[in-house]
Amino acid sequence: MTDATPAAAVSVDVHALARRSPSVTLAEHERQPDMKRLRAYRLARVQAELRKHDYAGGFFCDPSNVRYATGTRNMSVWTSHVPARYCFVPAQGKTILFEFRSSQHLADGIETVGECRPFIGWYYMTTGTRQMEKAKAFAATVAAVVREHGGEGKRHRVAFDRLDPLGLDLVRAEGIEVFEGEEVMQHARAIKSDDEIAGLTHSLAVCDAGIARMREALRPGLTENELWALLHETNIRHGGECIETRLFASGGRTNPWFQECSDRVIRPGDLVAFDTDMIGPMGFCCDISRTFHTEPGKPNADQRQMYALAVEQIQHNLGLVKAGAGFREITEKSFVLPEPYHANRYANVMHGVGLADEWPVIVNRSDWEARGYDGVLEEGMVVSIESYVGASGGCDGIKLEECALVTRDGYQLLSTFPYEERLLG
Amino acid sequence: MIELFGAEFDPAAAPDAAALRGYRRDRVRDAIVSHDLAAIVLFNPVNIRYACDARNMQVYGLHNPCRYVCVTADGYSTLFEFRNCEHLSRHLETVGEVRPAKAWHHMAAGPRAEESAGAFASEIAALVRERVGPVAKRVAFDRLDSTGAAALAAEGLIPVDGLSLLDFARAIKSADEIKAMCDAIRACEKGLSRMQASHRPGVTEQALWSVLCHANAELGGEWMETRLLSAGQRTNPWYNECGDHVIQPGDLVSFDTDLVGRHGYSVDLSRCWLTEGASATDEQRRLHALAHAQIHHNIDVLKPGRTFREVADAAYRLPERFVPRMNRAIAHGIGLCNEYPLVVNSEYFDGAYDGVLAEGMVLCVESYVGEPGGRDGVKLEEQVLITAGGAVKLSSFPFDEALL
Repeated sequence: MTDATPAAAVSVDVHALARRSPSVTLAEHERQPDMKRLRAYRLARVQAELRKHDYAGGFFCDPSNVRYATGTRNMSVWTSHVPARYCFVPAQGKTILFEFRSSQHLADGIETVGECRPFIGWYYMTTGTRQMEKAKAFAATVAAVVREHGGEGKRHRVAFDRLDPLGLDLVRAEGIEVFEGEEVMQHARAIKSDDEIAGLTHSLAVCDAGIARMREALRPGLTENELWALLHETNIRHGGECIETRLFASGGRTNPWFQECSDRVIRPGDLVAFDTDMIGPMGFCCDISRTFHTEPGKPNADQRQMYALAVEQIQHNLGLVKAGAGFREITEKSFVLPEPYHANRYANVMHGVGLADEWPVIVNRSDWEARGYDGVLEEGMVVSIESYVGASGGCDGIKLEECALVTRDGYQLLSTFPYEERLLG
Repeated sequence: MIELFGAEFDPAAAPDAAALRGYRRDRVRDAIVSHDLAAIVLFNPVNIRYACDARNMQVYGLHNPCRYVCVTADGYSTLFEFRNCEHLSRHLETVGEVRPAKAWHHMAAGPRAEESAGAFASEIAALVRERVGPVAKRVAFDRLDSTGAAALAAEGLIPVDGLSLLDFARAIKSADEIKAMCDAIRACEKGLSRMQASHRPGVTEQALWSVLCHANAELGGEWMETRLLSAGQRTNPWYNECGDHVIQPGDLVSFDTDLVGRHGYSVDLSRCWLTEGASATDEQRRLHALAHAQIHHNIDVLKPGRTFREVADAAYRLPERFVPRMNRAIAHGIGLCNEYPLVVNSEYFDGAYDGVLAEGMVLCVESYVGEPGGRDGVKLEEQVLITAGGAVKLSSFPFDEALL
């Protein structure tokens, strides 16, 4: 089935950490995640990356970056596409939050934020015909803040995770050298602390609860939308944030993958496949995929065969996860799906995950030349291991995905939802 | 009755999807031509949707520039799609062709960002040469980083800001857009009815908000832009996100739907409800009456041809004690998300911009009434269409009787 060498078996209990997810109601009598320590850890990681590149600081706009650097959150989905708030992270010291004008109170008591100021946005909706004036004011503010933290009279190197054409020219005109902020943040975010892992396991517990509800409810006659809505409801009810995609499909809509959920009525014998892509409590991303079979009836031989292949692919590739493993090495040793499944293979073998899908992306062997890049897995990274098995021109397909922490000895599985006995049998 | 689109117009009728797409594509093409651009390249999935109606992992795409569309001045759209997703837009006559996207954000490209951005830029340059001609150079972008800008410059292209022209194009809605939006509003209002049925002392803010999120997903809506529901003293100041606060008898619950619903159209309504178990205080009724009066006064002020300044001058005056926390906006545009224009109150007008209201705009008319140091805050908002005869409400969900 595969020409790669299977990795050595992992000797530790790969479920231990998931079983120790924390309680989240405040309690004085047990050890709990320490949010202040979590914020300090994250800010220190960003600042270490900034110093590594000799940047005076960084301006960050992506809400997951702002959350990581400062521990604050405000209308995260809306501000994903509307640059309505930024934070400035100096190479040392506290951050400055340029917050949406009417939301100054949201950062009260957050110790990583030295100062909260109203953000003067320059996106078109708020500035209209005065866009240039507002963009100039933004550039002048940037320059003033950078000089204040990096010293007068020298050329400053500053990272930005988002700076659109107008702003880019104006900030450069202020004598600032602009660099890629995403690189800084993606590398900072890659290594998780114990507090982050505790938060992530809690978020995954909520995600598992949502998956369980969808599985219990599954029966012919429901629409894809009706089932998928249960994950939304569970996530929000438990303090989660949003769902990034609508990748829930049934029957013939499971192949090819990436069809979004619809009002299709689920039929007996249908495979139902989904990818949670859920931003859960505390902003942690839960990226789990499962495929169910709709009763009455038994899965057919094709469905079972595809399921077995998907499980084999996931288990094989999980076996490659270990601190010190190179991305290229993983690509080379990764499971190769046979035809007729290869053409529809998932876009990658695994990718990082944290407050969203994150660096790195490790691609399949046949995609190395076009898109692969090298690097090394480190202890404390969290990865999602992907599989999609569906024949070219086939009428259904299997999507599976697991979430694992990279350890010295191999990995700890953070996702716990079991595979389907009936599809395995 | 909506006069704007003629006597035959029925807001309850299904939109003609092909006509809706064609209208929006033409608006984008006309904007490209009138700004003397060679092309526009759009990364924001909301903008991609507007230009060609292709949809794929929308929320993910809001923060990952992983797919884009290039619309050239001849109106031809080349969709650069996420890997293995070509099948998603095959049915769209507004998509000329689909090619794999060249993503260069750090997660996707790592140390190969410049190489990927280079491939992106040379493909855009080739499209422009082929479809517009060898002298065309100016290409508009809705977002672009320094690596992308450098790669484009190396190809001899000049990247310019594209948000202004796109937001402006989006502002005027067609009859089919209004039908689609009305359908989205009806689904949202169904969700609001379910929320109202679940609203009682003892539920958490999150549990109540989850009812709307559930309904939106179940009824074919897409996502929630914010989490703005709060109860009791968390309603003042505004902008607290929903949490595990347990709703108490007599609490006001204020919320703002901010959802992207069916057909990708936004529904942005706010209501404030009294929680059963205690009767409304005089202050709660006063706040609600003021917010209600402010919204309805301001709806009457909105007429085509009026400038934003004229609207601000004629707008409702809240008593002094509510001015510090009042909504900066009188109204803002809405379509596939919040958009141009933003009409602000006179207190803030010096920092804002002027413009003219036009027929076919859809606006959300806003009010927040809560004073510094006060316990309660009331948030109300209605979605209206600008017609020759004035603003027509598209939303019909009732206000809370107990507070009126």
